[in-house]
Amino acid sequence: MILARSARGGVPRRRGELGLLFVAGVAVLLADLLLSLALTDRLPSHVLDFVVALAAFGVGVQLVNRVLVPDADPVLMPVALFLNGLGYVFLTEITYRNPANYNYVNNPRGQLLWTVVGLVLYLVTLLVVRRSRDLERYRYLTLVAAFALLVSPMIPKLGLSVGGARLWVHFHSFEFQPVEVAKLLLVLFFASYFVEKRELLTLRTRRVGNHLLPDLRAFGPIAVAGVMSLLIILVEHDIGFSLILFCAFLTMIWVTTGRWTYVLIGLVVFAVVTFLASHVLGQVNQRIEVWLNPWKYYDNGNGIGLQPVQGELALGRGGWFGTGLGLGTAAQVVPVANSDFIFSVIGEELGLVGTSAVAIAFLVMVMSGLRAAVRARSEFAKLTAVGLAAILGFQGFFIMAGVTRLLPLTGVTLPFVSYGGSSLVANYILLAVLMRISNEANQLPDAGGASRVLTSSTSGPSGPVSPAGATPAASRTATAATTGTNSR
Amino acid sequence: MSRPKRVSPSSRRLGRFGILVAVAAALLVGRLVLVQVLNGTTYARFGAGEVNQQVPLPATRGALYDRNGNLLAASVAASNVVVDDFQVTNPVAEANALAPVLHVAATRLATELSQRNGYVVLGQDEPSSVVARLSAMAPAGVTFQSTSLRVAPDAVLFQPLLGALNAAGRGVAGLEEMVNAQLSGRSGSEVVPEGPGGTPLPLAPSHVVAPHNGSSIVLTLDQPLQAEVTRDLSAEMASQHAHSGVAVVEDVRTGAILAMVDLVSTPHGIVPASDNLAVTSVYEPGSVMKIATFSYALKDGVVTPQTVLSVPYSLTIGGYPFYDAEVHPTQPMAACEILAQSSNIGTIEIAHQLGMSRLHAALHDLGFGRYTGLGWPGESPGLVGSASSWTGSSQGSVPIGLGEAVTPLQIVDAYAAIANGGVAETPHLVAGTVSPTGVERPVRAPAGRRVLPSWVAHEMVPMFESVIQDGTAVLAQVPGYAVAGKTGTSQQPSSTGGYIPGDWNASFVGFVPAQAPRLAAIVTLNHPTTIYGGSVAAPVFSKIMQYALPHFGIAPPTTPAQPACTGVGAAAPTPA
Repeated sequence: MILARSARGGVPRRRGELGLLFVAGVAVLLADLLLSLALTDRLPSHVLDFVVALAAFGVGVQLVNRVLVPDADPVLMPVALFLNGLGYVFLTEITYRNPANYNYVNNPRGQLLWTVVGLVLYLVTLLVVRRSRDLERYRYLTLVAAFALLVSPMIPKLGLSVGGARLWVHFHSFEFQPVEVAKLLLVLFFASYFVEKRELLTLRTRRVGNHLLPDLRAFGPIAVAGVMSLLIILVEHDIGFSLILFCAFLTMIWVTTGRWTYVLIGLVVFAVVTFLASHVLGQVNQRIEVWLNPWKYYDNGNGIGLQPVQGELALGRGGWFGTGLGLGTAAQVVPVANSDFIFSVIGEELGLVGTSAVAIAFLVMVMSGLRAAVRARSEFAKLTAVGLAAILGFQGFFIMAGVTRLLPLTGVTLPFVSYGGSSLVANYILLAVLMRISNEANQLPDAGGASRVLTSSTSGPSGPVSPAGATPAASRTATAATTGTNSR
Repeated sequence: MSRPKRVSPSSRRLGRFGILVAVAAALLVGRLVLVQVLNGTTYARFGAGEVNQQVPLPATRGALYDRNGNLLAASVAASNVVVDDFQVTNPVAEANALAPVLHVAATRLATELSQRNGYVVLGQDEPSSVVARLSAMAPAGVTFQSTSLRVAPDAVLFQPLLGALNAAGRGVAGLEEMVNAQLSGRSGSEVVPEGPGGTPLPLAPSHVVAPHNGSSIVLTLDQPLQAEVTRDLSAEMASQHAHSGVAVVEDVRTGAILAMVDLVSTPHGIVPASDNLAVTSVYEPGSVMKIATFSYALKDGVVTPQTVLSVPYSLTIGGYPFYDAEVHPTQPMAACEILAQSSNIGTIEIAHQLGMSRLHAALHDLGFGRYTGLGWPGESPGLVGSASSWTGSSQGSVPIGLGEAVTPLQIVDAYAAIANGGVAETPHLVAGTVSPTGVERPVRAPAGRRVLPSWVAHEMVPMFESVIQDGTAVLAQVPGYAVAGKTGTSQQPSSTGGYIPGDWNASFVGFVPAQAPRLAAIVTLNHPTTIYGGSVAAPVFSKIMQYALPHFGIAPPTTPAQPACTGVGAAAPTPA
């Protein structure tokens, strides 16, 4: 039966995806209705439009996937719909309750528009990138493009500074964060670079005393990454993306080589870069101090501690189940709640249940990405999948950890949830690449019986893939159990 | 399936990375549990009140009634008419429409409606009839804010007593302040979570504490009597060109104040004073204070009413000369004659025998130099000084009511104590309360205190009767009733020392019926043309009592009046 289902290719996966899309859409619709009831005491006037939009999203994604990536992972897009929809509902609330602060561009209609653009680009990416190795070809072109994008906010008249961070370029009222696209290009570059230089990076050819060390040239990429990070910090006046890219880079180099040396050296390099940058940029020290004691910087609501303090109070008010949609206060009292701190609004109104759901949604996305990586046959595809999953995971983790004060605040958007067009578009493109890799991995006829069996068994009788069962750690155990051999 | 699985090294590392990811997620969720659940209540407490708006639900203020249930003051719902003039497209047309309703000139309204400021108050405390008419017209941009309006139908009679409310509706003067706690009740509140633009969140739980309306107060005052007293005092003030006048009528058996009138002359005529002068203003009382010397001299057996003293025309005490009001040779006078004729020298002689410390005790016992117990906000205790502060000349001045300051209410209280057989009832204005649900509850009159043995009081009454029968105040007589009382004539002290020339206070205090006293009253006039209390205040007392006695159904007692003073009878009446 398992084999029969596998023989029919992607149909079960797409059928599972359709079910998950339906569940996610219903959840978002219910959230929208509840919000409208809370805010206006009646159902939203646009309820039919909203249902149509949700259905169009689900059906559209389903059709595109069936045609272009029939065997790809069934979980990624439903989770994206869930997060994007939830974000939209919360943006609606935040805009409604702060009528003075949001203009047409900076509101949920804008987010809706960006979602459409993102989905179109998702389709375009799948159409253009028919095979993952297409992406490997233009290695240095990608690097140059990434550099160009990174420095573009420096261009006079084009660049735009918001809140001290120079992350934007703008044409008229159209604003864009180039770093969001650059992060994808850098992942592609590093993946192709590591694949080619793998031997060089891994083998120890240089003798120093009694120890063998990799060739000095092997540290080139680390230097490049370090320079890149410093560049981002200096150009953009923001440490968030720099940190995320560097972490993704370290993950990729570690997965490639298995050498902790790189990770350690990389961390030291990043520490030095951050230290250097902190002399230029007060933000770094400030963020750490506010992280340690936000109340000290609260200053009766006038200080820079206001946002973290209000965010944490909002999370506390949420409790187990939250105050209910539309009934919280964070949407009004947390400054710029639509962006970095949207997680605190979710925490207040949906409680621990809601925040855990979002955290788990990200876990599921990352794990799906890793699963695609595990199964990927080409090293390039594998590394790309790891890098993309890592970027998504680190970005989500850092902002959620920042809002909860687990770590200092990094000031990046919560992917798919926060307001932000470039973030949304870039992340849909990221998903398109992941879906392409996942599709290839699942399609290869001799990709290894073990993984195929595993996929079938987890997405089989119980329907949709459960995130826990999909973790590579678990899959190995499961495989070992079914095969009865110890893989080590 | 049976093929042994080969796991590439990089895939193994991917697995480890997966574990790292799971650990990170677990850390995050752990932190969330800590912040949201374990420490959640702490944070929740911090953050309460961030957006919650507390909307006060005002309690309706209680009303004030006189003893007969006549309404003296009440709160009625009213509205402020506010317009957002940005919404007014045609100011002139709207002004013309609103003008007749708001009784404001259309041209002025048109200006108000064209000032482009978004919040223009067109009318304050408008009655509901105006609101109804405006609502029917539905003019652009007009909204109503509910307020409450304090109305006093008889303000012209009761204004100095009623006092005033501040803008927040709290009593800040007079009765409104004195019984503010009972009248105001407890305002409730509603906690409404609101958006910054004031957008309420309809499904958010709102916490309502219902307001507890204030009780109404029934006063001891009698509206018809108040009107009569006002009329009589005002007429006398007009004919005497007096600057101000005070009259108080008190029930001697209970201390209930039946009428309390404070009037002042203005260029626009005689109007209610801005303050309750009977309680808040002090004056030098003059001869009415002789009550202290005589009552305690009788009590301590220093004199009897018939004790005869040799009274010269003048006497020098402590370097200051004291005189009787009219020149007379040194003559024998009975104590009762001394009081009836208001002889200063005779009184000083008796006080000398009584001694200054006992005189001071007498003043204190009779209620001078201390609060009456009325509880009036801003009440003056007067000024008597301590026996040690008195100088040599005080032996001459204090017994005849000079050098001390008293309120009219203190005087009438002292006389009421004599009238009540030596027991001073505490003066009061509150007779009872009416709860918001309409339950009437009388307030027990405060306890009185005995200031003199009853026999002293009974011996004092005929002495005060002779003042009216053949003494200084024959004009205080009330046909059919025996009146007891005392005149007072004094000068206003000057701030630079001595007295203001020509600035006299004329007063009369007395009680009726003398055989079984029921009502006591004081009438004082400041700066009258005729200076003597017997001439200007006594007739007002007579008129008041001619109305009040039948009004309260007090029949003339059948017992005959006690024999008047049978003294030496040598002296002619000397007004003082």
